[in-house]
Amino acid sequence: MVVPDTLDIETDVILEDLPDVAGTIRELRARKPAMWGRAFGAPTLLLLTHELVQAALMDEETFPSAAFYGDVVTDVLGRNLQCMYGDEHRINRALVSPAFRQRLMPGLVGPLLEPVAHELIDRFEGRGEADLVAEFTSRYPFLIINRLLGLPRHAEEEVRRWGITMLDIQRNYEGALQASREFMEFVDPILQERRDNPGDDLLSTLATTEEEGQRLTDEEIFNFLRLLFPAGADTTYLGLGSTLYRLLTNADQLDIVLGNPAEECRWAGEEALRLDPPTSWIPRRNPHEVQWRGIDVPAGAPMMLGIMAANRDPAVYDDPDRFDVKRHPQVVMTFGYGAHFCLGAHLARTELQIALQVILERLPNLRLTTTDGVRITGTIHHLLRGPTKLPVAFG
Amino acid sequence: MKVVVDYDLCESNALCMDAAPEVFEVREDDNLYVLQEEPSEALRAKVEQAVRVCPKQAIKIVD
Repeated sequence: MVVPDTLDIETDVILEDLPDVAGTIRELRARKPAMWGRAFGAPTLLLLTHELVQAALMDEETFPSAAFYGDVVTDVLGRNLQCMYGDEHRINRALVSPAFRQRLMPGLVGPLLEPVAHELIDRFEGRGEADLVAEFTSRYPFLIINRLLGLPRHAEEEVRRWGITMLDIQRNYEGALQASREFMEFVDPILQERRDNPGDDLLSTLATTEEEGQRLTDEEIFNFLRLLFPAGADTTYLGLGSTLYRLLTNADQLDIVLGNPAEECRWAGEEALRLDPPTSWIPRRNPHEVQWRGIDVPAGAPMMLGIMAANRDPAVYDDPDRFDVKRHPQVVMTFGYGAHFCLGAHLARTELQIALQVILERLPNLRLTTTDGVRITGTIHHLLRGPTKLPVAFG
Repeated sequence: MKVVVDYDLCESNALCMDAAPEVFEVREDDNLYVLQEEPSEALRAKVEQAVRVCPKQAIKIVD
C-alpha cells in the first residue's frame, strides 16, 4: 500500500490562497468523501465529511495525535498533550484539566473576562472608531492567559510578543526558538516562587497539582504554558474575529443578537465557530498501514481532517454555508473530538460570549467602515483562519 | 440497555445531562452520576444522543 502516484487533486489546501475556500471544499466533498490532495506540499489524505472526520478524531488508536505532533514543533513548544498517547496522555491531561472545568467558568466572568474586555475598549472608545483585530481580538485572549496564570501586569506586552513569535515557526524559526527561551527564562523564577508559596492562580495550581502520586515537572509546566498560545490564544482571537465579521456582514443576524444579547451571544459564537473554525484542518499522520472504512491508508501517510469541511457537511447541517444564529448547531468539530477534545473549549466559548456581550454593549451602532480587504483568510497558511482586520466605527 | 461511562475520559462537560437528564447528572461536586444504569427503552433515543454529543466519547451503550 503506497501513496498513489496520481493524486485526486493537486490543490494544496494549506499553502494555496484559494479565492473561495468554502466553494472548493463543497466541490471536493461532493466528488469523494476522502481524497488524495496536497498539504504543505506533500501528498496528503484529506477527509471531507462530518462522518469521517468525527470517526478519525475518535479513533485515537488508529490515528493517534502523537504520531503527527510528536515530530513537529517540539523544539519551540516542547512536548505537550498533543504529543502524548494512552495512559501518559490521560494522566497529564488529568493534571492540568481541573482548572478548565465548565463549572468554574462563570467564576471567571466578573473577576477576569469582563474587566479585560472593558479595559481594551476603554483604550479606544473615545475615538469613535478602531480596528477590532489590532485593538481587541488580538489582545484579549493573551491578556486573559496572562492574568489566569497570575503573571505580572508589567510583562503583558512582552508575554504577548513572545506568544505571537513562538507561533511563527514556519516563517521565523530562529525568532520562535528565541522567544520560547526568553519566555521560559521569564517564567522560571515565578514558577519556583509559586511552588513554595502557591496563590490561587493557574500557575500555582500547575505548580502544586498531583495525580496518582505524580506532580508536574518544570519542563512539563513550561510545555503546557507554551501550548496555551497556539491552542488558547491564537485560536480564540481568530474565532472572536470571525464571529464579529459574520455579525458585521449580516445585519439581520446582528439584530437578532442585539435583541437579546444575554441569550444570543453564545449561539452567535457557536454558529460562527461552526462556519469558520479557526483551525480549519487538523493534521494527523498514520503510523501503520491500515484499511480504514474502506479507505487504503499507507504507513506514514500525512492526513488532514477537514474541520471546516465537516462543519459545513450538508448531510448534517441544512443550508450549511448560511450564517444562522438560530441554528444552535450540535457536534461541531471545531474543538476536535474524543480523547484530545480541546480542554479549553469551555473557557474559549465563555471568552467569546463575554467579549461579544461587552463589545455590543459598549459600542452602539457598530459597523464596518469598509469591506476593502476585510475577509476571513488564512493566517498561519490556511491551517488557521480568521479576519486580519475589522475597521469599525461606533456611536 | 446498559449505560457505561469511562470515567478516565469523562471531564464533566455535561452535554450528556442536556441530552438525557433522566439518566445523566453532573452535580455540585463536578462528578457525573449515572442516575439509571439500565434505563427503559423509551429513553434510548435520548441516551443515544448523549453518546453522540459527548465530546470525549466517554459513554457507551451495552445491549
